[in-house]
Amino acid sequence: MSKIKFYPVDNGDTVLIKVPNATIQIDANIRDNNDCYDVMNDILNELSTDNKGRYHLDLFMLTHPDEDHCRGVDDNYYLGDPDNYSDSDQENDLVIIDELMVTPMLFTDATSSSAKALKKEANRRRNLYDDNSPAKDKAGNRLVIIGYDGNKRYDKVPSYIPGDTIKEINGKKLSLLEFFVHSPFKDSLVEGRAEADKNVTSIVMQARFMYLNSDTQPSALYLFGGDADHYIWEEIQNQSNTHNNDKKLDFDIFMAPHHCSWTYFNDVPYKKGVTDTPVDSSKNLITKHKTSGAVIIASSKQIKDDDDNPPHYPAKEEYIKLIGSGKFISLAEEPDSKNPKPVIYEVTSSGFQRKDKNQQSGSTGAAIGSSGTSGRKSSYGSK
Amino acid sequence: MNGVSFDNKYYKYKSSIVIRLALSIELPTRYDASTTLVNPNESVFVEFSPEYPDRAPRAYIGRNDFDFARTPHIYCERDGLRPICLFRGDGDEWFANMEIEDFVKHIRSWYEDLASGVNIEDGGQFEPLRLEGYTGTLSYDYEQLSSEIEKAADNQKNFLLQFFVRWSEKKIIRLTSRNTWLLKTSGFDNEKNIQFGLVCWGQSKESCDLYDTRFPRTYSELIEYSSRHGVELEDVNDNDLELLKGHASFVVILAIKRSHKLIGVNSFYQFVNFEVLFDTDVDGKRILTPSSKVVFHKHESPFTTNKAHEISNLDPEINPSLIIAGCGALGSKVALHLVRSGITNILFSDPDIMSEHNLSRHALLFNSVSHFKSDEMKKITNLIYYHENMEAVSSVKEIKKILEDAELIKKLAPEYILDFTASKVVFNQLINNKNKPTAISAAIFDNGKFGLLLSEDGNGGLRLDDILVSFYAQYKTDSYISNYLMSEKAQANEPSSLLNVGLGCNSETFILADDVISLFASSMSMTIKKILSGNYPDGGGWMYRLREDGSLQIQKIDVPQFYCYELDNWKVRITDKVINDIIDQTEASGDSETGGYLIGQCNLKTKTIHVIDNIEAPEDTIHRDDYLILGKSGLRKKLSQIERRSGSTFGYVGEWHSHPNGPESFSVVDYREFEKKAQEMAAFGITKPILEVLVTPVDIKYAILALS
Repeated sequence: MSKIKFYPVDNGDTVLIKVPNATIQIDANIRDNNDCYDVMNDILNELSTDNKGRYHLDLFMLTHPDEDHCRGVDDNYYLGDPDNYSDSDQENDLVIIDELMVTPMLFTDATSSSAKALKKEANRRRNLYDDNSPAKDKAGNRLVIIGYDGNKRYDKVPSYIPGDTIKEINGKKLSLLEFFVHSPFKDSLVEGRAEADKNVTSIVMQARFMYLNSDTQPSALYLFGGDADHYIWEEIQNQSNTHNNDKKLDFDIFMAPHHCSWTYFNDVPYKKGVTDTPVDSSKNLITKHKTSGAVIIASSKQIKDDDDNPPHYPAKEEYIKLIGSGKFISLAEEPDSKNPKPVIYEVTSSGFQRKDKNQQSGSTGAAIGSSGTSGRKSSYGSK
Repeated sequence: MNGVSFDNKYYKYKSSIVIRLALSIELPTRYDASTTLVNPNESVFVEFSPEYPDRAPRAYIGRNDFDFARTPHIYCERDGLRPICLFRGDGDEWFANMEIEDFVKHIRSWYEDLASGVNIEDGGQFEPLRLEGYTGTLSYDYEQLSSEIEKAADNQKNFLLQFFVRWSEKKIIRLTSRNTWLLKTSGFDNEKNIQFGLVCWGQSKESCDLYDTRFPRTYSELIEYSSRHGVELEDVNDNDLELLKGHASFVVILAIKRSHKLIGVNSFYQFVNFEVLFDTDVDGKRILTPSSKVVFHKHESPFTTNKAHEISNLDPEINPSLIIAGCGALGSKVALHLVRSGITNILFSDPDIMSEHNLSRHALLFNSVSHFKSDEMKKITNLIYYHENMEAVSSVKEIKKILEDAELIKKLAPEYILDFTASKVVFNQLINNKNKPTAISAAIFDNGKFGLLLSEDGNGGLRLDDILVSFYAQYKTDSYISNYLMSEKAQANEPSSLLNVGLGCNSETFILADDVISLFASSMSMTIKKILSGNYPDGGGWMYRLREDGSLQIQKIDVPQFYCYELDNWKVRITDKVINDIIDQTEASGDSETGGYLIGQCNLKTKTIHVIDNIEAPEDTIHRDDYLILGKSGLRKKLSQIERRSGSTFGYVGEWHSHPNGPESFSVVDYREFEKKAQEMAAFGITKPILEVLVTPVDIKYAILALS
């Protein structure tokens, strides 16, 4: 069954999507810190290995090259020619990223060490396309670019632009999932504004999950957009309206942009009487496009009633007003703020069904550890 | 526990303690609240029996307005309570590794899955009605019956099909309306055991997804129950009723059409089986009244070859026609593995009768003693698949005769012959017969220490003896094989290690336990299924080595490429390594002639010479541009070593020499030498031929020196 897993990573994003024939990670904020949830161990448990025992991720999607969206990639993922993957890489459980999906921004504005490492890796892969090397189609070498900045340097690399639908990743057709691309817009990528604010170049997509192969319409929708601000979201709505793509903004789950900051609702800094009123377009997006039981997820630190931004307390309050009580989920507080764990949804014919609350632990096995295999969930009914 | 509240009240129910929990339920994002199937808060009763925690608690629906009719995984009402079916399999076993919190989470998952439809539909399939409290079992092919109804529903308005029930076994044996399908039973001759029944379905295209487990107890309730599910039983006509009255009761199979296919079967129909018992009037005649008693029966599918394939995870297309030669301990076990996997187009061949001592390790049991093994294997195969119109066959003729029976072979069109005879005669016959099906030969060696399975390639390229020779040729690098071959030779002169089990000379058998043979049989069967599935189109060989700890180590035999030639009725098969060696030596020798000795095996029965190795020209060889005198320095020692370490399996089979400057055929000098050798062979009574190989700049030539 397809599922989507949201990891508690404080201010940052780490989301894992599993469908029958692919595992996709959107962003990474993997901290080397014993006090937080062991995200990487959890991800490794979700991945499959090849016949040499090497972990593979079908697709790593980087919404934009800010550090809180790619932290830890250089330490936990294998960056380099897959043919040179060594025994020590395997000992360290480095994950081979079969296909890397980035925006052109990575090539021009990578500042953190993780982003620089990803940039280097993306350039390595891009050279294979430029050289038309047969190796470009090999798992671990694939590259896809989202958005077009008017720079022909990337024109040999497979790419998608807003309005496109991604139905294939890592050389495989996705049977139960597709991504509709809303952003980044060319204007955001080419104007000087991009360098000043990478957030406006974020990938914005609607992940469309089908329950059955025979389904023609998605049964669950996940709308996400990295750190895109209210200007971008407004433009997305305008474009969607112009191109009859309104339905592509519907959502069962909406990831609160920029870790529940106020930028989704208005300009920052948040000033009473100046920028404290949410813009209509941001409110409309939620009220018009939420499905009946839709939820909003904030991937951020615990949202306290203070002046922090992100996460921003008034933003949380606005979200709750728009989505309803009990439908706003703060990853830092699930199941509780002391020991947050991933929030998991499975795709059903009736939308997303939350699953993490009923994870069974069993009475045998290791006393310490985030997961056990001794006790497994039973299905229903007699044999 | 988050989302769970308990009012601290305990109730007594029989010898159990019952509590009531309020569960907070996570509804899916698109849950249709108007259905009211699941509420955001649900109450459940949890029963703890005195055997808790060895016995898992039971959960019951905690509200009366629950929509039972649309909910699967609920048992029939018990004392006004509705138990939730929480487990597929043994719930106590599941609970043995779980905590009570896990149990509560499992209940909550049950509700949440129900809310998202996962309980009802699994991957687009429909969860069938849970039938409990049945009084009997009806056996029929679900999908076959469903298919018949689909056909009948399309072609005729009649709403029922009649069938016979073999009442003692409660197996449907024939649908009568078209006589289109037949459940095979042995001895279908006692008409008194046969009665009619009805399969009833609705004419409407509408589906019905009700989960109504309150089953009818009278005929009027059955009519009402059927009607609720879209089937009008009142339409049974008088003629049909008269037929049904031949017995004290009749069976009604109600076909409820669901909106989706049912989980586990390729059918939209859920069949519910009822038996209606006639009342009797004052005259003792059978009458059907509204109060006639009704009971219901569960369904069981007959075992079919399709089901066998499915359970065995074998592609249903894999069902080749086979001849199984040798139904001894190994053959019978492998054969039954294949049969139970759904491979049933088999001719069993064995001339032996099942003896008492065979019971120690044969797949057949005591009731087969004194019968031909092949006949009994056929019988057991046909009995396993009694439902299907398939007929395994048997023969007590020797395999050569079977293969020569053109009519039989044409009828069977066998694709493979599996040889478990462990007979060298049969082995040679299989090699000599060019028109046979692809041969696979398997046997256990060295008192059960290892087994071999050899498979031809089916194109006449790779032969069984090529693989066996390749296996033995590993004596040079594998001390295990060398030791085996040496001990075999040594034992040839020792008293027999066979066990006498009777008075006759043919009443001997290996001392080998049943479990050891079963171990080999199961492994070999797995390999054979892969071969039959087309995984090894080039054939090959496998060695199964029994380890000290009782496990089997399986290794594929490295079979080289053989260059094959036929001359003077002899088949010469030389490994590519030998050919390459002698070409290399020829080139290294430049314009001077060179040569060497050929090592291999000669089989007079199959008239085959296998060459697997060569000895380079000894030091005392005289090389000239136009002649060669092959030396013998150190040769005897080398040949002795080969013969010793291979247990005389391999030895000298001939010689080769080169003509770097031509001629491109054997020369006059060569023929003079051959004549001399022939005289020596006659003088020393050497019956095996000698192979002569000539390497020229453009070709390789052969000659066989043999006593006529």
